[in-house]
Amino acid sequence: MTDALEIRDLHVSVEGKAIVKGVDLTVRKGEVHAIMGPNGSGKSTLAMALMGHPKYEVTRGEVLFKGQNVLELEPEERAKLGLFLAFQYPLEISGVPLSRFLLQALKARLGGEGEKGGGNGQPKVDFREFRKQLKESLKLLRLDESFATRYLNEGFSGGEKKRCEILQMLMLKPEMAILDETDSGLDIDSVKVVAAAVNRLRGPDFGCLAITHYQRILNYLKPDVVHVMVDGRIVRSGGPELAQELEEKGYEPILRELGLEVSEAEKGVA
Amino acid sequence: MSDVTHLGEKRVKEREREQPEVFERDYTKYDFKDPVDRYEYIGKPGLSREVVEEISRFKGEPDWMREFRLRAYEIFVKKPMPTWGADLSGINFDEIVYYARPTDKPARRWEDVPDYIKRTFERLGIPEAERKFLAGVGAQYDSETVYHSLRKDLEKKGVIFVSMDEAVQKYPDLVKKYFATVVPPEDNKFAALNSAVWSGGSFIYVPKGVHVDIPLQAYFRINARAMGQFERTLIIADEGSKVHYIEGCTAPIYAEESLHAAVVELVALPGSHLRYTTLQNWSNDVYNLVTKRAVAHEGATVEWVDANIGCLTGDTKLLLNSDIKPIAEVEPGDRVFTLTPEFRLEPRRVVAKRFSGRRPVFRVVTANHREIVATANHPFLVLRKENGTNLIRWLRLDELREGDFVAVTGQLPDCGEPRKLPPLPRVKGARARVRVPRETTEGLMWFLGFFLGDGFCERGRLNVAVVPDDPAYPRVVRALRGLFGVEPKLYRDRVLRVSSTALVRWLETLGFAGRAREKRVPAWVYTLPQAQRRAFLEGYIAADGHVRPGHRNVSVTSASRELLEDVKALAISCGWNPLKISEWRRVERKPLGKETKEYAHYALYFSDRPLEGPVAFVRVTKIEPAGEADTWDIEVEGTHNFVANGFVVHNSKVTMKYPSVYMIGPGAKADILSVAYAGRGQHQDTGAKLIHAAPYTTGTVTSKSVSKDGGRTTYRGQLRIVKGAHHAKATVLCDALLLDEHSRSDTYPYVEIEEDLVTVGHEATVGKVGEDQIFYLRSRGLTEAEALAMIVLGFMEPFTKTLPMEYAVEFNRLIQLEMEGSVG
Repeated sequence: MTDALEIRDLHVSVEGKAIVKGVDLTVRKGEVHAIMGPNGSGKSTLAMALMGHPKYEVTRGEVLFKGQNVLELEPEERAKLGLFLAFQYPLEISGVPLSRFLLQALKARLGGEGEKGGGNGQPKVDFREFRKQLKESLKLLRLDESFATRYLNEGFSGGEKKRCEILQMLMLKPEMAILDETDSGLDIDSVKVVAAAVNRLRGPDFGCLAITHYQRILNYLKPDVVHVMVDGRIVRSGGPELAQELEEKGYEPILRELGLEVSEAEKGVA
Repeated sequence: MSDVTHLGEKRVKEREREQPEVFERDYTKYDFKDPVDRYEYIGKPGLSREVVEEISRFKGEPDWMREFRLRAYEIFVKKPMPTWGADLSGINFDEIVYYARPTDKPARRWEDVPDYIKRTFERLGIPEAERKFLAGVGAQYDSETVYHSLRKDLEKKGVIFVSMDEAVQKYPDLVKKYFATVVPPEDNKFAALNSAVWSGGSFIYVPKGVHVDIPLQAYFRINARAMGQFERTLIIADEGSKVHYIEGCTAPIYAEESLHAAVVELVALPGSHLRYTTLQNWSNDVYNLVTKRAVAHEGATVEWVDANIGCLTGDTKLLLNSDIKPIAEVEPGDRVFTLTPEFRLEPRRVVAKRFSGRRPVFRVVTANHREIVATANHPFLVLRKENGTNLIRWLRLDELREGDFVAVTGQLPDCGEPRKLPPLPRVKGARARVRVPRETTEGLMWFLGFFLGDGFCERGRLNVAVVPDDPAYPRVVRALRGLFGVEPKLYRDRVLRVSSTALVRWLETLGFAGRAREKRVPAWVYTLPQAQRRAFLEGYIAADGHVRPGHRNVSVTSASRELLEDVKALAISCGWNPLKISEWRRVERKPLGKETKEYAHYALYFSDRPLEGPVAFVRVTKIEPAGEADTWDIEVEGTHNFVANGFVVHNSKVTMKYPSVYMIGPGAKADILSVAYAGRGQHQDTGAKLIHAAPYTTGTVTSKSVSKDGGRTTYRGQLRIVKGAHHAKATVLCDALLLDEHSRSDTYPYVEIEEDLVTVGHEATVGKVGEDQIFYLRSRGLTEAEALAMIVLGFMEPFTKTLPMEYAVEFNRLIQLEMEGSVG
């Protein structure tokens, strides 16, 4: 038994269509892995399936985290186990102030095994400590303090939504964070801010699987391992130099090697 | 055009997870009763002039109030029941206790409140609230206000907050000046009733220019059984003053209905600011018929915040026989058929039932001779062609026309089970070889059907009238041998006879030994599997049925109309299509006498065309008055309809609680915020009324409603701008949130504008909670229920924001409990 996130021969279908077709991947705590790949290669599907979205059906394979069979767990139980997903498209929850949401999520995260958190007399969250951390995290992400009083994602710009995801990650302190294209749609300054926040959590108790379309965030995130995902499979893994190679040549050579068609869009990448 | 239109069965995807049967709300906090014998005085049920005088005498009221009550009583007697809106005919004014009082005097100090009442309030969280926040507490405990206190500094400024009874004694001038000026007894029957028997309630007077900075509040409960609540609240905000009043309500659960007919009058004098907040948590039994009205004078503002989160309505009205049991015998927990939104018939649990009194009824007859007797307001599912489109909707019986198509059941799902049978009773000297089956079979049911038609018992003998050349003869003999192990003897060439006292008693215990005119189909037969029910009918038809020359259809004849009604209901439950029951009489002269005797015979015809699909629409051929009858209501889990006599009918609703504000001075403002929540089996019918009766008045209505598990909310916003109210500005905003596809929400704006120079806006939105939103919150560690609660609370945020802390907390908790009930 290890503390790692172990994905073995994972197959995922969405509405009956196979998208992820056998992924094997192990991310140990303390490591940062990046998954790169062209559009439609199944990266986001992998992320959603790992977090347990009911629409993403695992048809084969297993996922272990800290020795537990993740696939048996409800999404909230996965969160309590220490998994975190930064959404590519965060959802708007009207009328719920961000700070209230963070407090309840934190209570739930600390709330033990599958029990309801957030109610009366539920797990103790030191309110002062909470405020202090919230303040620090906002500052790290270059967000104004009033940001926490706004309703969750409602009327946020694309960049604000992404930073809000990272804010949640900072507050909830997961042990394994999956970042689903958190960098896309961000300007270069925001990319640096986000990468800095992830690096803040970096340590022996934190692992990260960063899904990205572009190489540029990896300049700041400095992954230990880079994987290339194509057509639902990981086709190549390597060190940071692999990302560099993709940066220079794009996905085209890999796709050709695999005998796959190259779309016009992919030619333009990188 | 054919008489029967089939509705193709809609295929609907199965819901991914079965909704568990969960208790809708944790009532444990509220559902407790104090012993009623603690009451010092309980009035006799029923209302009369004497009762009114007794109430007034008991309270030691001055003459002017007694006169007022008696005048109101006369108005009450004369006023008809309101016919608009909800069905109120289930209220029996003679069964209601009009006055009860728990202690002799209102206590001013908490310590003086009797212990059992304290315990009640403690469970409601009142003392804490009192300690922390309150300026004053007025707690309505049934009729009298038992506890009242007001913060000293407010008292010094001249603020009056006492029970209405106390105000009559201590502040007669103020009361006389304003009492019943906003809601006079002539207004409606319930206002008249309240005026005659009112008891308790709050009286508040805020002097000129005084700002009350913390909310004044009162908690109302309905406690004693069948106890009416008739509190009367009058709030006067004098010029330039400011006050916020909060009313919380809760009622324990009772089997009998309670009537809550309160009157609330608000007077906002020039330049004042008056806010009134209602939080309610009624249980099912309460008829809530409150008349709430405010007048806003020049430059005054009235804010009305109204939350409806309990089961205000969801009441079902009437029906006579259901297919399985007469409604009078249906009990909560029984299962009846109901039509789901997917047009499937499903058995559902009856959650409540009550007697609705003797009422005028009407008979609806269809082309295939189905009949039902129902009250005029009872809704039916109707297919009607309008502007070339077929529309399916619920219409009240009195909106039905001959020629409309109403929904009747076709093929019902088979939910029956074989019945275990009792052993043969022990009888002295019985021959041991008689035996009986241990549970029902098709063979046994065929025999019992035949026996129902042509069998009889006398003196320990079982007889079946059947002649040897009847095609059924060998089968009857085989059945007697095979089922009971007996050998019948043929008696006088026309009766098969078995002598066995034990067997006769056994048949009696099953309900089969009656005489010809008293024979009925025993109730348990309806619960058998369809094949066994059909075998029973086939046996009965083999005995009593025939095909008359020149007729295609099978008919059965009997001397008992009731028996044929039973057979018809049974046939409908098997998916057969029985037609009419006709009557013919013959007159017989007794031998040796001059007396004649008339015999009535009845015949039931069966169609050879069964109805396909679960629901068919059949033409209505006749609607006629059918005298008066005892009527009953049932409430079915999750839906608002049930199958009665093979018809699909809807229940009716009971709520009238539309706060209204009359803006009578220039520049007056009204702001009504209403939130409603409807869960399983609930229909929240709420609304508000704004009357602009002066120029430059501004009115805003914001309605927020949440529906889940098939719950339904309806919002009726009435808006009137009278001639001369130029530059009036009115805005109505309705937001609905649906938590699943079974729930619904409707808004009905009624606008009447008699002035040209006005601005009116209406906006309605309907939102749905998406799977992705729920998943997003769950991925952060919230359970599904917590996620739903968070979304709902967010939606309600504009409302909760207006509440003082402890009410907001309580409100949030109620929503959380509701959400926990909605997911497994």
